[in-house]
Amino acid sequence: MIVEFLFYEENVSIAEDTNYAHLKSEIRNLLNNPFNRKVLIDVLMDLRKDLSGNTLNNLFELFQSLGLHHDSYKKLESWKWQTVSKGILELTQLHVEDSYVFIAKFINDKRSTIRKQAEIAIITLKNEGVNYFLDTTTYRISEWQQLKILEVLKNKTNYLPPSFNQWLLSKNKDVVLFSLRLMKVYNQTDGNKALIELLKHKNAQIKFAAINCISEFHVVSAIETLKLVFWNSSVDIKIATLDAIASLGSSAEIEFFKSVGVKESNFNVKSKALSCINVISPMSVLPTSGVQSVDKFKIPNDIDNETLTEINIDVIEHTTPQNEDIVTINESQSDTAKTALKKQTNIDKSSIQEELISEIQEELVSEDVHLNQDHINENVELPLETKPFAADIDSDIEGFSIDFLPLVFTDEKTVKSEKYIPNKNISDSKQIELSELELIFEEVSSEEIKVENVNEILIDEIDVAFIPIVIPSQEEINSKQNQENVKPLNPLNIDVIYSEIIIDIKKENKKPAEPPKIKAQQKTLRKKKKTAPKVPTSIQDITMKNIKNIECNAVEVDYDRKVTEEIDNDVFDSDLSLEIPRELTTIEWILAENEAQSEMKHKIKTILNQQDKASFKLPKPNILSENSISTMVLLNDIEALGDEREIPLLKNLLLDEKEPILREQIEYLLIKISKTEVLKREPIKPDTVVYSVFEEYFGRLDIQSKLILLDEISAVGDEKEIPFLRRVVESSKAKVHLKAQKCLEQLIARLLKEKEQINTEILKSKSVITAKTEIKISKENSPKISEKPFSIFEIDFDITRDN
Amino acid sequence: MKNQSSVLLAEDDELLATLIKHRLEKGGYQVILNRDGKEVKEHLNMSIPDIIICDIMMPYFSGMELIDFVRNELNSNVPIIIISSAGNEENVLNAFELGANDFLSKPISPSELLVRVAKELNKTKRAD
Repeated sequence: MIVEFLFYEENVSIAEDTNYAHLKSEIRNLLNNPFNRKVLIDVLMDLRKDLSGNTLNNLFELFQSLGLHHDSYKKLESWKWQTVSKGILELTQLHVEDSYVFIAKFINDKRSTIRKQAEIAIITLKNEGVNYFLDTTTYRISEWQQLKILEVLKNKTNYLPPSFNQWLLSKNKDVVLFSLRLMKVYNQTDGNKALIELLKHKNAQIKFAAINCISEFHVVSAIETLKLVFWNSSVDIKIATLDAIASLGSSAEIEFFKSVGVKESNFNVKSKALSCINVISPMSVLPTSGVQSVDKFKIPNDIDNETLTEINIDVIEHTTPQNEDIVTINESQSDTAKTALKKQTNIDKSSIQEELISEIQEELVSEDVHLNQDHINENVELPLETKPFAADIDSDIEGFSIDFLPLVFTDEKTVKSEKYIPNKNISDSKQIELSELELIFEEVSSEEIKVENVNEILIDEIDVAFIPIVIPSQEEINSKQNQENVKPLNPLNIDVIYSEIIIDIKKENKKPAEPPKIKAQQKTLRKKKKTAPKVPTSIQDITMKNIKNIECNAVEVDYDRKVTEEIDNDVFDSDLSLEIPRELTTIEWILAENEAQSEMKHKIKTILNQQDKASFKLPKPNILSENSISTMVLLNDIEALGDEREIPLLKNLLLDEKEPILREQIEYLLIKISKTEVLKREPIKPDTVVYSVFEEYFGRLDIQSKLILLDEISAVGDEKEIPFLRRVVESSKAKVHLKAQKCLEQLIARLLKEKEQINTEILKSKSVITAKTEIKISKENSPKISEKPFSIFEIDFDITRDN
Repeated sequence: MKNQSSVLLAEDDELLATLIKHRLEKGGYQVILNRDGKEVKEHLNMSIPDIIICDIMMPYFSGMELIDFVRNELNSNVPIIIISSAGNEENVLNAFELGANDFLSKPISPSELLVRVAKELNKTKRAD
């Protein structure tokens, strides 16, 4: 039926026309049913997706001619947002232009879905919809919404966009942004002045959009404003501004970019400024980071340094103004500034040298060009340090510690002339970079080096403090002085005279820290001289005892050098011709030292053992009986968990216990428990708030669940639930209030019943008990029956004869 | 009837299929409507129409498979017009590579379809 309507053509036969009229009346009858109307709207909406052209227009007409749009209008009046939205969609999709006025009302609707639907609808329905939308909207326009609107506008046929710059004055930030976007889309360049003004906008987004538009429309007049605005912008805006200036500007802007490079602290902005210079004048700023120094490159031997320097001069003269600037600064600056700038010049130098080398190599290989010496202008002041590298290094090395470097001798001349002096002029040294050093290494064979007096040099530098001091005799010294040629010493040939020295241990024990006194030692030595004439004459005669004595003596000497000196003077100069060991070999000394140390350790151990025995006796184990152990465990438990109820038990234990440790523990516990504040607490009063298990749970539930829980409480709850239910009764919600009240009544009734039952049971049990006791009493009171069995013969009777 | 050319319409969307059928019938064609690929295959095994109009996305048997079936298994040069809502470049190219004669993206104009059908039938008539 719908298809008939859709493909109805006016120029048809009468039969078809009558058929069409018949169908129309039929469909009108059908549409009296709201369900049919709904179905028809859905069908039309569905068909609308797959149709285009004239058939689609017929569909739109059919929708309105059947009066289905009234249904959509009704939907707009609904309070449900989804119904309103559906109504707007139907009217928009089926192009009911008359609905524009009704839909426009929803432009500033607080419900975002309706608002967005209305925005699309009015733009779709009428061309002037965009104007109305931009004029009236007070809400923000999302990015997605902007794209959707743009799509609608693009699909519009015969659409003439308005001049969007009129909305650049809008108070709505998003309207301004959207207008800027639309201006860009429709290439509307009539708002340049407004765009320049927007550069001064406080909102970064608007600023950014304006900059984009300016770049797009190539508004050269905006450069000055861009420069002005730049300094008061965020990083992103600064970068965008620099981009815009670079795209619009000329070489006059290079100075601005340079000043940005100097003044700007942000790395990104700085590097952007530099790249912008290259945009305006390409290749004016060359890459520097990651560029290797030319010094590191291997240069063929046939190219000498002089050639390089010549070309260096030539090239540097022809370098860019930037490099010249740097060079002039380098010349005019003080020495301190020079060192700071060295790095920069080195970078430039390296890049230039790199180019040079490649050029030279090419020239030498291909054309075999000989560089003429005449090219070198000696009077030319070199902007950079163009001396040969070796000379550079010499000047640098003067103030730099190079102790760590290996000694390399290039030839005999250099070795002689440049004698190495370690730590030369450290105080005056300048800090130089290691990378700046230029070293020329040559392999040195062992035959070529003629090192003289190496031993002397080594001995001078060796620290010999660790070697024990050996005191030679006066005669020995004298003989040494006399002898010009020193013969090598043979330890086996040394005649050593040892004397036994007894150390006064008592004195040492009293004052172990004090160094030995010379006078006292002298005395002991004198005594020894009288009593101990036995002295080993050869190394075979040396016993361990003797070594020990020597060691002791040596130790005494080592205490303080002053003391040894005094000994030297006093002992050896004394008229007592005491024979003291004069010379000992190193092996003997080591042996003696080891022996003495082990002996000393042994002595210390024995002393400590004796002390241990005397004073550090371990306590004997106190072994308790099994019974006592169990009591101890019990007491520990009582200490941990017990309260005042344990006092009688403890008292009993105290009476029974004989073990003193346990008695002590029990007494301690009795005091502790009786004094514990926790246990002195008052018992819980019945008036205090009673906690119901349901209370916590109840708070989290929804109303329905609460009602169910209240039923459960009335069924299973006890007295604790009564105060809780009373609180629930005060609830503001009527349902809960009523339910709680009912439950409370039920609970109370149930509890009363239960109590009554309990009471009756108690009474019953009491009556049973009383009955039993009564029986008992009665039994007790009743006359005792003879325990003997009844016998008929025990009946006391007399037999008589009646006549 | 102007002409009695038979058109096999393979479209699973009932509403659109009815609409197109009605339009084609009104244009003087004999339309055989099939709802899915299986029906189309069965029908093609029995008889080949003058022109086939089919949707790409159909149950059991896609429009692409149908083209392949007609061109390679039936070895028929019957004109095929493809209708698809997925009118992306890849689909269009695939359809033409397989041997489709025309391609229409949804939403379609029934009048336009009618013209295209007529054009394709004319081509085949000229070729014959």
